Amino acid sequence: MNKVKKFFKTIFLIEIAQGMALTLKTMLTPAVTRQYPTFKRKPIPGSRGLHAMRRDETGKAACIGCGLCEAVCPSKAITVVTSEGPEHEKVVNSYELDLLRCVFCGFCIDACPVSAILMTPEFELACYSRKDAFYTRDRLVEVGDNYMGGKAVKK
Amino acid sequence: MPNMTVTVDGKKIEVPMGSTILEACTAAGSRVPTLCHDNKLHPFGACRICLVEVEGTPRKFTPSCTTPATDNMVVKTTSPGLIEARRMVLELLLIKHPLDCPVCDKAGECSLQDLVHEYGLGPSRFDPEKGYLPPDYESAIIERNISRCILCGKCVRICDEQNAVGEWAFTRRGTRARISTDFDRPLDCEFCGECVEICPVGALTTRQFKYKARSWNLEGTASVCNYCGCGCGVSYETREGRIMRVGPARSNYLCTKGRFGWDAVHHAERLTTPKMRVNGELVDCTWDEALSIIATNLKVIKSRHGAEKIGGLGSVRTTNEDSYVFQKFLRTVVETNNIDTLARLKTPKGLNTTFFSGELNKMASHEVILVLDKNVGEINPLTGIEIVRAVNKKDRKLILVNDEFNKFNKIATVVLPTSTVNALENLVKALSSGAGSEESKRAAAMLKAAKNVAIIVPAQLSDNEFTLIRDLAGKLPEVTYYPLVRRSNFQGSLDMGVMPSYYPGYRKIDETSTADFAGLWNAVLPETTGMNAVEMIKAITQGKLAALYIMGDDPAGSDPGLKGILQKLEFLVVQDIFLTETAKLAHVVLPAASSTEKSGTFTNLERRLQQVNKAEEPIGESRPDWEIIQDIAKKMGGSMKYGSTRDILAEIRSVVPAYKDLAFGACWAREKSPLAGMADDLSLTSDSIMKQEVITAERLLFSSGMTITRSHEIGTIRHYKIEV
Repeated sequence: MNKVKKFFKTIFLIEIAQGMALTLKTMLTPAVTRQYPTFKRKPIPGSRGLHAMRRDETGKAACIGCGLCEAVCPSKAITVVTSEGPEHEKVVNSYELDLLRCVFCGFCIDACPVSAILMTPEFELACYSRKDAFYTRDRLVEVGDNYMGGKAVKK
Repeated sequence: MPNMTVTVDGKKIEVPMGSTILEACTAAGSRVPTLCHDNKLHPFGACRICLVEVEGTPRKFTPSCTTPATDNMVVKTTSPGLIEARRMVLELLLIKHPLDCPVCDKAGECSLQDLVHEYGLGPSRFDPEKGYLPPDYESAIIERNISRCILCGKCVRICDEQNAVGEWAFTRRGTRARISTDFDRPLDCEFCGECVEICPVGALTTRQFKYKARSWNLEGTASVCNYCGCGCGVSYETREGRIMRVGPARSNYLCTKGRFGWDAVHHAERLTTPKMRVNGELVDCTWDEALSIIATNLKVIKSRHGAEKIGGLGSVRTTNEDSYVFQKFLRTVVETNNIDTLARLKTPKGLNTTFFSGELNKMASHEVILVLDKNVGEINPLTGIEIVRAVNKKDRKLILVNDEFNKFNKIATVVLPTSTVNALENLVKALSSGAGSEESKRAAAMLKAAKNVAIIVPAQLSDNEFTLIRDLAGKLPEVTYYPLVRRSNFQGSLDMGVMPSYYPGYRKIDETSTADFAGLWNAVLPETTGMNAVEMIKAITQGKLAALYIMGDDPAGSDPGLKGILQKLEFLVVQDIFLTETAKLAHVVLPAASSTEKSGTFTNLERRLQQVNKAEEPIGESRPDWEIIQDIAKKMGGSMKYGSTRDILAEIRSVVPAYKDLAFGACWAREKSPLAGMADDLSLTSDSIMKQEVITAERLLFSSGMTITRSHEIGTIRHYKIEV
């Protein structure tokens, strides 16, 4: 019985006709492919891209140097170095983020007790040197300024 | 002691009579949270977090740390009611405790933080009163943040019960109670930092570690403190290969030198490159230049004047491996026996012949402790702490010889307020004839009644004192000596044979031993014994010594009179970690790695072999001492081929009988020394050199050597004292 069915299918080119019908149908519907980089998609809210550092009310980088982002980071991309300031306050000497190590999990954002480190939807991170993928605190604040217009953002 | 049966969480266990409920719970493997309890301290019962349910008691809950267990007691460590009660305790503590965990240095190792996390507290039902007092930055080294304090009283108790200092106390009452010094003045104590170590929260923190790193970033390296003969186990806590702080390891106690004095190795004046003298000035040079100059000069002097005109002064702070390679280099390559350490001038007479130290942690097993040196707490702080522990925890009797007043007077049973000689004379007299002053008679009666006695032998003894101690010990049934030893590896350098008349393992130099060691080392050895340190110094003035190799010692710094003498040398090599007074006179200066930067072993005053582990990379171009000496030996045609300190230790084990099967952390037995009970004396005396202590305005504890005076942190104590 199966042999007979197969024989008829082969003679009348039924499968070819089915395939061509799908092709013709798709030809008449509008295209879904975007011509990146000419056309860019609007990012989805909450998408995890390049990090940014928020400024606090006084205009300084908001990081208090607790090191929780460093502790929680699964790929050890963040290094925080702190020391004591002249007024016995905690001073962040350096905050370094190595994007080449980052897996964009967003744990650092969850961990931050003062919401100092944030993620922007920026995803175009290709660069020509390793150094460019190495974000210091000043660069992160700059990213924050670009995305939040330099305004202090309250938690 | 008879046992009793206690049922904890349905599990029946046997505990000795007199145990508390908490001890029974721990023995049964049930965890009971605590904040104010520590095994080092007497039970206190301040925090009420260790509540448990005891069946058949009228009270609902019982604090387990202060309540003695009874036979057939049935205890429950968890129940909904208990959890509710503990949460209430935590909620009350958090009314005043600020939630500044992100910037608190205790975060990550804070008991309160852990418990709040464990019990999952929500928003507080009380009006918070956070940060009601500003932090106190007045004291040196230690900072006090009263707002964070939970009034567990651990600092108050450890300072009193273990240290006998009693610097901290509770002041005021009720909700205004706080820990404080008298009249809130800045701390003026031993600055051991035990209160910081034991504080369950961040109320007491150190300035040294402040905001340096978070506790979870630190990696520990177990090693040994390099400051005195006690050889306390330390844990160097590093972040990215650099020490951030130091905590105690084996001994469970660290003094101010061990805990805060390590920062001397980060001092800006550390030697980082070899230096040689060009036109009268010391200038930097390469290792190859420095080593070639040393090799050539030593060879020339040897051929011109003979090997007996070359000498070596070893160190009592370098590792056993360094000392062993040093003496082997001088004996086999330079072919001289002029090897010694100047520290033998500051050694108790009879050490390793009459006075073999007992184990420090067994101090409390002696019924009576006789302290003959009032400075015991400053010379060997751990010995001092063990004495206080024995008196305060085990009710041992303490006889103190002290013509001044210090912390031991507070805990002593009898004080003999005279000099050591007088006190010993009086004691011997009172023991034999029963005559003497009231105190001597009381002390003699105590000594007579005791089954065993511990005698703390002073760091330096006169001949008279030495005989008197032996006379006294002869009248007592069982005596354990605890000689005070100032330097960290003094015992090790003696064991390694850094002496002119002994080979390693105290083999006296004679024909048979020379033949033995010539076979072991496969070398030609000098036949005569060498000059000791005192003779070497004398020989320089008489022109009988042309070259001197000093490894890790600073004679000119200890005795300025030696400066002129050392200048007469034709050739002086100094190997050290700093440009010391002696190094400034040298023709070649070699930078050595400090004890935090190298591996090896130390032998402490108990003759305990302990491992020193490398925590940091050597600073600059500095190198471990044995590597430097091995390279010079190679350049001079010697045949040293050690790959690591393990190779050297393996050779030491084959040469020194006492070290043969000695495990790390074990003490070698008195019977292993050929000198036990013999009349030989390993200490030196001299009327001309190193006569007096270097006079400082500071306490011995804060200024006992050239390294500790370069510690920034210990320096802040001195600075503060001068200001006041």
